[in-house]
Amino acid sequence: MKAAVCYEFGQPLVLEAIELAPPGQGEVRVKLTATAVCHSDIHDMKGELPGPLPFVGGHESAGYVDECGPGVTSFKPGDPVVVSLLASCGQCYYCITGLPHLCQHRFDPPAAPRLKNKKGEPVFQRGNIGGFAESVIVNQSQLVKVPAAMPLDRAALLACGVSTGFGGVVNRAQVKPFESVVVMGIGGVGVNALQGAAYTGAYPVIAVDVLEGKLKMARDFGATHAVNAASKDAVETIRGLTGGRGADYVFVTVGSIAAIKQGISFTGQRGTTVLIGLPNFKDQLSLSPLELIPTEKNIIGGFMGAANLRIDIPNLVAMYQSGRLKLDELITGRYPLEKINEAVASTEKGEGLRNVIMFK
Amino acid sequence: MKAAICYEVNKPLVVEDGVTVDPPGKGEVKVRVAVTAVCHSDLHFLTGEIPSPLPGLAGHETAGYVDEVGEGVTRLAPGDTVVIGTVGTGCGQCYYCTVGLRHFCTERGAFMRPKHANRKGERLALMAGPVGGFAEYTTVPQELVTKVPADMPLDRAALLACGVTSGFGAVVNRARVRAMSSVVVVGTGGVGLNSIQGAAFSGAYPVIAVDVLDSKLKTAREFGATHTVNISKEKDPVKTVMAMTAGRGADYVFVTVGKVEAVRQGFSMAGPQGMTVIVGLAGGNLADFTPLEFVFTEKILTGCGGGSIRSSIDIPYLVSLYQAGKLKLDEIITGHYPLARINEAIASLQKGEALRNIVTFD
Repeated sequence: MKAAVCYEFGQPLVLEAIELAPPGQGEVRVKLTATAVCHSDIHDMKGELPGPLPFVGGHESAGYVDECGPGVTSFKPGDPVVVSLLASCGQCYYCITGLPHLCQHRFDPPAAPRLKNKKGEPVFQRGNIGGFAESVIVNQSQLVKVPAAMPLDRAALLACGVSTGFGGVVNRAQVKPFESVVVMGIGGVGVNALQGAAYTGAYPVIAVDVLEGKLKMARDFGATHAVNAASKDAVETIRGLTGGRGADYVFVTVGSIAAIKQGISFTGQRGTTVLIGLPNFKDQLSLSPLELIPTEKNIIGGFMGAANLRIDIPNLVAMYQSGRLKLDELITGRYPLEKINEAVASTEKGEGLRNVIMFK
Repeated sequence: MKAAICYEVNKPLVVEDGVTVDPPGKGEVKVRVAVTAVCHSDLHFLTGEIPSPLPGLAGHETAGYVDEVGEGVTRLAPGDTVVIGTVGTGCGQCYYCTVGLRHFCTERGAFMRPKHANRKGERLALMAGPVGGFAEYTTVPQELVTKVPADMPLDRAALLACGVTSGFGAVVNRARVRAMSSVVVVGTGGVGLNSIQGAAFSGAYPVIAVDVLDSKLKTAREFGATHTVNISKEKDPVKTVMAMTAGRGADYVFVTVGKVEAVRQGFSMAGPQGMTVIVGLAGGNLADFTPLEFVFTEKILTGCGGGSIRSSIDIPYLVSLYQAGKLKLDEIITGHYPLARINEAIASLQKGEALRNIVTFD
């Protein structure tokens, strides 16, 4: 099968034939229909997140179950599925307390690499998926079945971008009606945070970005107000929109320290800044405890929208099918695997929300 | 009257006679100070770690007797035994008062208006809170004043103004620790021991005390710690805490030491979705935090100001806990010093010898 392999950070992906091991205990082979390009793929390809080379990226995928390994009972060949990077063991403290996205084994690599290039060298699956390939082998806990009527390019978006934004608001922060929300960064994750905030009854829902075009689009996803982060009086404007106090919740979907610091300044007393966007893993945050003590502000992280896949994905599918969740509007371009480097370049330029690799 | 004035940071306070205080204005109360405990946040101001205008008057864990009430004060009368807290009951009208967060009252800044003058007539800035407790008399807004029963010993009562409530309240009011959750308390001084009391009271387990002195950790066990970690002896204290919390890290970490390094270490002791509460006033900047650590673990970093207390609810409640034998206060007091020896009381706290030293007034 064909896959797009990253051999060197910052270089174009190499399209080549890759050999896939047969599915082992609890593993499933999925023939992919679609994999979306996410900003964290770009971090991976630039070496901004830790991980070994060479690897196959891509972690927002959907396709059809092709073959099940021993011990797989919930899936059979032909099932349409969403493929997520969130593996869970089902037995640890977090799985038992309903937080499988924090599973103690979520990042455990497979016993041996499942991919080999034609020289016989091991190739790693980023996120234990490696979705920039015609087929993947994953743990069954990474799969959720979707209805046959669900278009799989849209379903793929539920694996990461949509869940991370929507779930950041709904699962992690549990925003309530009447609470004020700021979403920083109106990209593929940010628009879904806006959708989540609007859905929960938050008001105002304030979109923050540096590009006027994105701020305009934000209103289509539920923003009630828009503020340009580059304007000198951004903090004052947001205070003005939130009763002089600052927001109850600020979701920082941009992976930059400057954005995080600005987000903390947008947050009101007892308010919560939720860090969602992944910065370079070496980037450090510096702040004074005296900013937090008298204001009792919270700084928290939200990982993958605190997704509980088997609950959330069917819910999001049902919302899409009943016209309550925008997904069609998230897809900017569709590319065959052969043109993946164009799709990546377009995502990196911030041109669109989501570019999707479509497999034959 | 006499007061201990800070003219220069890092210098002994000057105990000066001939100091004056404004008579109580509208809504204000003049209190004859009986006792004021010395708190670590006084030290942060007196050493200049947190800047303040000078000359200044510190002291904010105060109890005494109402001497005179201003116009419009109806809840208090001369002779009442009272605690003066750093956190007011609030204006009752602003957003925060309306939603039940009285300690954020938007009017609280007005409390910092200086009320004392030295014998040359220079106004004394209030340091480390709106009380001015290192003086024989002080005048404060009635909102800061809570009446306590006449049979409550005032040196114990004074501790409820800040140290006890900051520690206990961080656990009970701010974090709302639940039974069976795991708690780490970094620093077992006057505030930390009260976080430990609060955690034990809430049914947390384990309650892990972290400090550098075995003697303090021994005391921590008396206040309810179930485990102790001496970070000066442990090669990898974070690992030790992990082992005590089933390999996960704690659900709650309260950092009562005012050092950014302690906050950093405390944050490492928290587990996924665990909450680190900064309680001790730390100057400087937190560093070595990567946003990725937040994203992947969903940890929570927050602060707690003065135990998030509702003084008119919490102080009487803590008095009744003490009187019922369920709250340790006697054990928190290390020494009593007359005002003339206030610098000894401060030096002893600075050396880490004391939990709370009490300055007494005649």
